[in-house]
Amino acid sequence: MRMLVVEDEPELRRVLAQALREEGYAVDEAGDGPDGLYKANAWDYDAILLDMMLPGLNGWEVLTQLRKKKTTPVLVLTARDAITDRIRGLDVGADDYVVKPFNLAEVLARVRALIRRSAGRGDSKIEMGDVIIDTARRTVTQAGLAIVLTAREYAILEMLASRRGEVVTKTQIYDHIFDETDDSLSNLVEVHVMNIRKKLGRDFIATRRGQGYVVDG
Amino acid sequence: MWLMVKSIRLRLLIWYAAVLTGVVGGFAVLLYYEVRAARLAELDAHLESTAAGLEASLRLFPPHEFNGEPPPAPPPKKQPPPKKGEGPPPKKNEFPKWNDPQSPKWNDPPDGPNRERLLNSLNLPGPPRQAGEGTPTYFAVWRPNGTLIKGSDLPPGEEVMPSVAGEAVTYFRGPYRERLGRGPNASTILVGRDSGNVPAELTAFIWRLIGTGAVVLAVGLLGGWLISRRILRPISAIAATASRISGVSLTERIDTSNVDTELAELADVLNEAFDRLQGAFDRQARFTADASHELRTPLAVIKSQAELTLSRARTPEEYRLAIEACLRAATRMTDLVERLLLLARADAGLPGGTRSPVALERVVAEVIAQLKPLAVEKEVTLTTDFVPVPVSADAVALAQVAGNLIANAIQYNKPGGQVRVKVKLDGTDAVLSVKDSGPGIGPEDRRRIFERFYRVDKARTRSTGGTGLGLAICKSIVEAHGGTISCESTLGKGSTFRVRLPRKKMEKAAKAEEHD
Repeated sequence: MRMLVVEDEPELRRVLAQALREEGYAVDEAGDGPDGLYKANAWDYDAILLDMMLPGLNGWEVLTQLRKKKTTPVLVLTARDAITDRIRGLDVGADDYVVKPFNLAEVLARVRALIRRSAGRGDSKIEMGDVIIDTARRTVTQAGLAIVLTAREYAILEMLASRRGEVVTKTQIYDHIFDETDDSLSNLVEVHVMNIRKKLGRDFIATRRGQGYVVDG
Repeated sequence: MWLMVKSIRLRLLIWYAAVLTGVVGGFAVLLYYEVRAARLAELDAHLESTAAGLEASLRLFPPHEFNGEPPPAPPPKKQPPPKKGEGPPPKKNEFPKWNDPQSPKWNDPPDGPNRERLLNSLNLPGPPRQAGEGTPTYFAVWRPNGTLIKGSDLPPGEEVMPSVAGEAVTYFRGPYRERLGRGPNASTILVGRDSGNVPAELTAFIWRLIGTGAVVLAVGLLGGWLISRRILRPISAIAATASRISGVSLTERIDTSNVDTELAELADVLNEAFDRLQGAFDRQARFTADASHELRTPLAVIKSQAELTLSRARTPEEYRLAIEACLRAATRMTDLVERLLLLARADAGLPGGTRSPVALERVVAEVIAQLKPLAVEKEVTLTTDFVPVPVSADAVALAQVAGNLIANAIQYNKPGGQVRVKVKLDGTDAVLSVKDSGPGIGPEDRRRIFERFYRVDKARTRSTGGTGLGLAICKSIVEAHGGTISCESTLGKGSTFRVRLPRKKMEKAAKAEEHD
C-alpha cells in the first residue's frame, strides 16, 4: 500500500508519515501544492492525505487538477471546519475529510476504509478458499490458523488479493510497497513472494512468466 | 402630543388634514356669507322698491294729512277753506286736477272719497289682491306724531312707530326683514317682509357646504394617504432589504434603480455602509479562519505525535524526540497566541496611560543592538541615520514595530546585503524608514502585505517560523498611534517600509490620557 501525505507543516507531515509507515504503508511526502500534485499524478497511490491550506497551490486547486486525470481516493485534512469548506472539498472531489486536530487512529481507520471502498469491497475481509485476509486488523488466517506475515509480505498479499484474477507486474508491486526514499533492489519483490508461498502454499500465488503474478487466476 | 406621534405617515396625514380643513372651511365660511349677503341684498332691494312706491304714493297726500291732525279732527267738512274767497272761483263742472294742491280734493273731509282713493293707492305694488290673500310683504306709514296713516298686514306688535333718524335702515325683527325710512312730510315708512324660507335655505346651504367639504376632505386625505404610501414604500423596501442583509447575508444590496432621487442617495449611503461592513466582516471571518488554522495545526502535531508515540512501546530516544516535537509545537502555539492577543489589543486601541514621552531614535537604536547578532549571521550590514525625534508614544509597542520591520529586512535580504534605518522629522511628523536590499515585493503582494496571516513567500511558510502576523501587528500599533505605515518596493532592488507618526496628534492623545 502506497500513500501520499501532502502537508506543509513539517512536524505534522513527519508524524503522519511515521504513523502510516508503522501501519505498513509505503509513504511519500510533499510539503506544498505543486509538489503534491506532481507526485499524485506521477504514481498510482492507494490513497492521498491532503491538507487544504497549502503554499503554492491550495488543496482545492490540487484536488480539482488531480481529478482531471485520476480517481485516487483523497482524504482531506482541514483546519477549517465550516460546513461550506467541507462541502466545497467534497464537491471538488474529496472522498472524505477529517478536521484538525484529528485523532490519529480515526485518520488511519478512514484511510483503510477509503482503500477498501476504492477496491470495490464493502467488507474489510477478503476470502480466498480457506485463506481470509482481514484488512482492518491486517491479519491473515488459513483454515482458522493465524499466519504471521511481515508488513511487506502482507502488503503484497493484500494487493494481489484485492486485484484477484488480475495479473500484477513486479514493477507495480515494487511501486506499491516501496516509497520514494527506498532504493532497494527490485528482486526483493521475488524474495517476498517466495516467502508468502512458503507460508500459504506453493500454488497460492501463480507466476505468469514475463508478466507478473496472479492470485486465484 | 405632537411629539408622541412617531409615524411620519400619520404626521403627514394630520398636517394634510389640518391644512385641508382650514382651506375648505375657510372657503365654505366665505361662500356662506357671500350667498347670505346676496340673498339679503335681494330682499332689501325688494323692500326698498316697495318703500319707494309707498313714498311716491304718499307725496300725493295733502300736507294736513301729516300735520298731526288725526282723521277724526279735520277742519269742519262743510266750512269753506279760509282762503276760499281770495282764490279764483271754482268751476263746478271742471274736474279738479288730482294733484293740484289747490284742488278741492285737498279740502276733502278726512273720510272723503278723495282720501279714500289716496289711501287705496297707498299700497303694495303689483296687481290688486283679493281679500284674504296672504303676502309676505307688509308696510306701515306713520305721521310725524306717531299716529298710523295706514298699515297693511302688520304682524302683531308692529303698530307702534319705531324711531328713525336720517338714513333708512334695514334689520331683522324675528323672522321678518324690515326697512325703516323717512317719507315725505316727516312721515315714517316701514316696509317688512317675512324672510320666509331664506334662513331655511341658508341652513340647507350650510349642510351642502359641510357635505361638499367633507367629500373634498375625504378625497384629499385619501390622496395624501396614497401619496405618502407611495413615498414611504421604498423606505420600507429599503428597511426590509437592510434587515435581510444584516440578518442573513451581507451580499445583498438595495436596488437603487426604482427609487426616487432623494431616497436613492440614502440607499447609496446604506449600500456603501454595507460594502464596508461586508469587507470588515469578510476580513474578520478570514482572520478567524486563519487563526484557527494556525492554531489547529500545532495542536494536531501535539495530539497525533502523542497518539503515535503511545501506540506501542518506544525506545527512550524515540520518546525524547516525540516530546521535543510536542514542545516545539507548544512553543509555536504560545508564540501565536501571544501575537494574536497583541493584535487584538492593538485593534482595541492603546490601553490608557501607556503613552509617555520617548526618544524614537533611542528606541530604534536599542532594537538594532538586539538584532545585531542576526544581522551578523545573515551577513547583512546595518547602517543608521538618526536625528533626535521626541514623541509621545507607547515605547514597548514602538520597539515591536521597529523590531518587526528591521528583523524582516534582515531575514529577507541577500547575503552581503544592506539594511538602512532612518529616523527623521518631516514637518511635524516623526518618520521611521527601513530600507533593505532584498528581492523586493510585487505590487499584488504589496497591497496585501499588511493583512493578517498573509505571507509573500508562500513556500517559505511555517517552517521558517514566521506567523504571518508581524506586519499586521505593526500596522495595528502604528494606527493606534494615529500614524500610517506604507511600503515601497522595486522587484530585484529592495523594499522600503515607512512609518509616519503625527507628533501633534500623539501629544494631544497623551494629554487626554493624563486627564482621564
